[in-house]
Amino acid sequence: MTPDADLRDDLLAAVPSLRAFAISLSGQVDRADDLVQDTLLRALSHLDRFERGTNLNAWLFTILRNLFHSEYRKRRREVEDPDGSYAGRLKVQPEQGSRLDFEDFRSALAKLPADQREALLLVGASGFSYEEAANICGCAVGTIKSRVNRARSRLAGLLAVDDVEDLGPDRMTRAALQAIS
Amino acid sequence: MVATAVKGNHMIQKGKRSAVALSRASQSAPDSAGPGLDRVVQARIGDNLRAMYDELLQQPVPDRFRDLLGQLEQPREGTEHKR
Repeated sequence: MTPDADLRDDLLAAVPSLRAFAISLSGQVDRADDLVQDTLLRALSHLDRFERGTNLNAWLFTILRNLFHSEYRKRRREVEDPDGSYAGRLKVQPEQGSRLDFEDFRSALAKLPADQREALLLVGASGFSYEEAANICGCAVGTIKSRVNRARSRLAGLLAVDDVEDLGPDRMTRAALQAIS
Repeated sequence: MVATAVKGNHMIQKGKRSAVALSRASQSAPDSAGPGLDRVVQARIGDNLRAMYDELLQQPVPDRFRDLLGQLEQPREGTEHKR
C-alpha cells in the first residue's frame, strides 16, 4: 500500500467525525458538508505541515474549526439563531425508527454560545482530551474546561426549564415530590 | 427514554423528567439533594450528547468525499508531500 493510499484511508476514516462535528457546530448538513470538503482540500494542500504520527483527527478538526469561524465571522447574521432555526435545521437528520428523541436536547444545544457548544462537542462528544481541545481551539486548557462546565450547567438549566414548561407548575411539583419520595 | 442508572440512587428510575425534576427540587430542598443529583443531570446530558453524535457518526459518507479523496491516488500538480 502506498503512503498516499494510507493517507487517503485515514482521511476517509476521519470524515464521519468531521461531519458530525460540522453538523453539530453549524446546524446545517449542506453547510457542514461544504465545511468538510473545504477542510479536506485545505488538508491536502497543506499536507507538508502535518507531522506524520501526530493526531490526524486533531489536525483536521483544527482546520475545520478555523474554517468555520472565519466563515462565521463573515456570515454572523445568518449563523446566529435567535428564533431557534438552528434546532429546526438539525431535525434534517434521517427519520429512522431507531432514532431517539433528541429534539429537546438539540434545541438546548442550539441555545449555547458558539464557543461553549464547540468545547462541549470536542470534549463531550468527539472524544478529545481537554488538552487536545485547547490546541484545536487555540486557547488555554483552563478556558476549555470552563467553557465545557458552563455549557453543561447551561444545558442542565435549559433542559430543566423546558421540562417545567412541558409539565406545568403543578405537574412539575408532583413530579418533583414523586422523585424525592 | 431509559432512566440513567446511577448506583445507589433509586430515585432516578422514573425517567428523564424526574431526573431533571430532581435537580429543580434540590434548589428548594437542599437537604434532600446530594452532589449526586448534579451527576444525574450531567450523566443525562452526556448520554444525550453522545447518542445524538452517534447518530450523526453512523450516517453514510457522501460520495463527494470518496471522489475527492480518490484523486489522491493520482499525482497532484504542484504539491510536494513530505514523507
